[in-house]
Amino acid sequence: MLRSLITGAALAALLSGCLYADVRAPLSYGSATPGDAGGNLGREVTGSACNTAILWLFAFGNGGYDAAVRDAQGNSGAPFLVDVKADTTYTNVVLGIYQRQCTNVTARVPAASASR
Amino acid sequence: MLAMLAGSSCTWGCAFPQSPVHVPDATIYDGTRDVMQYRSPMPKDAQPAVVTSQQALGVSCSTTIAFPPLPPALFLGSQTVINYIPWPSFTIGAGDRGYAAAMRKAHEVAGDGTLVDVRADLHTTAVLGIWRHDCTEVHAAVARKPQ
Repeated sequence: MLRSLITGAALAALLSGCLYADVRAPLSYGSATPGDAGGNLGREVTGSACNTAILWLFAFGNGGYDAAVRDAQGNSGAPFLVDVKADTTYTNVVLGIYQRQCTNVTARVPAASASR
Repeated sequence: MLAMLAGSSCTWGCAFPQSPVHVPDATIYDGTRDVMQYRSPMPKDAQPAVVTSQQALGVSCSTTIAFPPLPPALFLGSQTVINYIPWPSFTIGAGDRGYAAAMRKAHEVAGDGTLVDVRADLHTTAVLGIWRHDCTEVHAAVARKPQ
């Protein structure tokens, strides 16, 4: 009885796929506007953050807004970005054996006078 | 006719919540609070405070146990695939992963500062599709009044 229960549980787990997942997905982000930077916009920056899944069994990564924005901020030293455009890219190879989803942000660095 | 109406009322009832929160088919107990909507303050809303380089993090979580396993919908189209699973999963869920709880914790980190430019992410950890931990993570810049 116990053996069949364990077998059934293992089978159900395998059939459902996704043995382990640890991912971050974007939820919401109301970014700052040019008005927040006093209308003084600096250079354009880009950043991305990704989640990956392999063989339907394992998923990992940090594809959230925060990681993408931090990547875009890079070494600019800006405490926040303005006019942020967020897109997603999705790669799926052979029925999902390899999947990768990225959050890509394109934004402008505010002028130094608007932040510290 | 009346019997038919009563019958349909008993079988369906008010089964569908008026929210985008997904409720699994075979829920045994669900006592969760989920995110709905949040428009955070902008840097100009915090003026004369100035946005500093300090960041504040707030996390709020809920946990779900499901059996037979219910894999998390991680990618585009995942939910469609999950809908094809031929058996219902019995689930028990509890926790508060709302914006309010997450922002409360971020405010504790920021002290008297104002939180602006809030980025919210969903952090999902799942094992075998049986145990699942969903956390709302808010990262915010801290604005402080000039000394």
